[in-house]
Amino acid sequence: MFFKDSLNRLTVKVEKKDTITPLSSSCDENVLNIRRDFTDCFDLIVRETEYMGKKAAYILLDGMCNDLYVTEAIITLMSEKKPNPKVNVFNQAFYDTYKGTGCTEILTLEDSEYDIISGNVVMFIEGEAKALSFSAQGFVKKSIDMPQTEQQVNGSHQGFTDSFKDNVTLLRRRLKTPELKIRKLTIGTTSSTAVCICYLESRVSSELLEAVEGRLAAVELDIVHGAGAIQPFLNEKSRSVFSSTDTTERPDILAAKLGEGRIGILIDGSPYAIVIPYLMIDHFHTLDDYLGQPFYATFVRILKLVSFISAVFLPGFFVAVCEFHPELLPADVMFDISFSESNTPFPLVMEAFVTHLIYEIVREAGLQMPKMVGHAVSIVGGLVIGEAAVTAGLIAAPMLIIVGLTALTSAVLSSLHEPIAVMRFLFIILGGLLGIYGIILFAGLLVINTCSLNSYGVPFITPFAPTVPAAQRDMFYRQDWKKLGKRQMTVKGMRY
Amino acid sequence: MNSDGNTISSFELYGILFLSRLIAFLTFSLSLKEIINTGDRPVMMLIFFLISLVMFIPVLLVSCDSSKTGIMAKARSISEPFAKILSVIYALFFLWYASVSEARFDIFASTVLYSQSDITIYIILLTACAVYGAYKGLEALGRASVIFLFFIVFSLVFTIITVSAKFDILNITPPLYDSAIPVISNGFSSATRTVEPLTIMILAPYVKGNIKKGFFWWLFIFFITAQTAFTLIGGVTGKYGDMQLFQLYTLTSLSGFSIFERLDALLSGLWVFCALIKLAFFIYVAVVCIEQGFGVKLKKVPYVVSGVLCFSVSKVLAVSLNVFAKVSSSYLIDASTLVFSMLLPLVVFIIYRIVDSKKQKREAVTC
Repeated sequence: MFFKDSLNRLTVKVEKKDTITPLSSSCDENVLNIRRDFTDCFDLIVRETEYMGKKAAYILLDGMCNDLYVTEAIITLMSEKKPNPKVNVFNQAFYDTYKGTGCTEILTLEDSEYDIISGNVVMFIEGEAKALSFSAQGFVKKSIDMPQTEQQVNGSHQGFTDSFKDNVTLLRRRLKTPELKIRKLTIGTTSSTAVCICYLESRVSSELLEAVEGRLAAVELDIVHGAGAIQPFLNEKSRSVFSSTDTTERPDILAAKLGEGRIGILIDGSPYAIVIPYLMIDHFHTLDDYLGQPFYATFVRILKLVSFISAVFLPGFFVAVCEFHPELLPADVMFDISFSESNTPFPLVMEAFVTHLIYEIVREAGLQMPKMVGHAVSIVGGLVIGEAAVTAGLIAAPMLIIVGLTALTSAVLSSLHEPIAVMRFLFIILGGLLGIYGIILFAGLLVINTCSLNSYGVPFITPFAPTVPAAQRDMFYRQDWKKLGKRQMTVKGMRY
Repeated sequence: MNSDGNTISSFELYGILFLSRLIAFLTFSLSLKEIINTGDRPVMMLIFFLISLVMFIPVLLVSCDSSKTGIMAKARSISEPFAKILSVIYALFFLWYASVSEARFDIFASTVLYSQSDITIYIILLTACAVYGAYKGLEALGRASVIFLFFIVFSLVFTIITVSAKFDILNITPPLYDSAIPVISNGFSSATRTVEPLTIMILAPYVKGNIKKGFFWWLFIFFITAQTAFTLIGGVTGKYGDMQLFQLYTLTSLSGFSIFERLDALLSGLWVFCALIKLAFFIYVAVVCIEQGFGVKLKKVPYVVSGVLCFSVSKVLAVSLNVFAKVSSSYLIDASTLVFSMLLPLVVFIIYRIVDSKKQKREAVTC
């Protein structure tokens, strides 16, 4: 009861507004309605004028439109028209402006307001129960830049931006085919964020498309903060550390994924596109693999697999070997480690746990701080604390080496950082309590859990299991483009 | 695809069965039975191979006829009460077998893996993980078996390569040097304790691919693996191996690579995968038996109950080596496997055929 009261006091129920208010044929009434809804919005600009002898009004938001364009293309053009009783005023206005800009007809007050907020100019004409919406966006946006999180050596240097229209353009430039479909919808009760579903019509499976559309329609959000807010609604219902969707900041990667029959979701205000379905093997593939030599791509992919296994299991394995199975180590190494560890006050499992916890804190601090300070934090955390802790005899040097190795290997697969970080702690505890056999038992449990996952009907760990022999040409081993390019693999065929 | 979406390929099914058989083989102790010479073991495996080929013909008959419906669906078309009784009998049989396997692993783990501490917590955790695996279903187990298989094959190949340098042919006694009777008896009981193919009768509707061909390859690959292992055990350990409780573990303890001289903990640790998948698989099959026999869909509780049952029985069996040896080596077990793998499937198959042909005749007359 207390919890419910507290929840009611602290939160506002998110409800979808389904009201539809038809526009009035009175220009004044429409303007009045808009003014009422935009009360206390200093940036609302309403210019009442005459068009072909009829009363008219232009409404826009300051800063959202391109001023020059609004002045020259719309207002100047239309203010020069003289009255002509033989001509339909609304159609003439539509015709006059259509030549210069995208223009749509609007029938409701809600649509008018949405377009005004989106940076359009909305025009009401006396006697017309509809409005014209001119596309004149000119708001401040980030220019197309290098992707921040997915840097590649050989790939394009263009990343998605915050404007979804620019993102659509970036995608269109890479897939010049009418088969590329981009459907727009709005999510977020208050934010009314534009979201685009992108897919290649001939590649995508209809079940996948239906499922994605259904889940997007069921999203109940007040404000869409970014791709990460929508992802949970698109993920499969399962208790796993792995996600069945992921994001990309690169238009070239999204284009490649759409070519494989997947669906991309672009969100206005976010430089990340959601990719559906996303499989385990995708974490091990990068664009550079496809643009370099096949043998090197194979080498790098195996390196990533080794890094993943090391990042998850190495600290736990180290604790288990030192505590339970020292015979696994060569005698010299075992003596060196035992000598170092004998000088530290903490049990090995606690030492490993705390050291990794400190590493995660330093990492998080580095991310949250401004860039320049972030570097300083890394230096203080890594060198000063690490060096001092070893010198003071609080942490043994081998443990610090293990932490360093783990940090390096987890950086290789940045998209899997979250599951890796959590699993690492679990395996440290298991290694300390049950030894290698405990680690192996829970690794088995993790494998079963991961194997039970399906991403929109596609097994999460395919093409490894269930084994798809034809897909092995681009799993850890990558074939040459001469062979790989002949037939495009799609996820449609991997559905079980 | 069946209604649950629980469909696996025949490769995945035989992957599970291979791992399941392998853990019985890896933790198999010859000292529990009549001791046979090192040179007799390949002959014993040959007998096992031939008997298994013949013994499981009824199982394949029931599973791979044109209807591909499995034994429970056939029993239901004969009579529903009969199907219910049959499903309970088979479910209990599979749970019993899972308990014996768990007890065998318990003895192996308490002897080798955690020789100085109480193993109960570990076995509880193993059972809990197996219950979770069983609950996740056949798809998850099938896919996981492919991954586990990769590690197990790696561990076996690594062991074989690293110990082959210590192989000495003089360590192997000539085949049938003492007497042929214990060899035949061991070969026969090895076959009669192979319960894995019985699950094909239950799971046939969920399997895509050629089950018959897969069965032959499964048996053949297991035969080759066991032959190689027994030959190596004989050639590397000789008479010393005969005195060991777990010969294959002894072999892994002799394997080493470069400066790494003892890798037995890691290699035998990987066998935990086999134990996990076997236990999970048999719990799953037992629950599916009931589901098919009663025509219901069961939720979490039966899996948990099966797990608790397996754990309790295994703890009773694993209380001492003598108890386990007496129970698991009894001729009652051999006879029950024969009944479940040969007699019952044959009876069901024949009655089903008679009932089916009568039904078809009746339908033809009606038309």
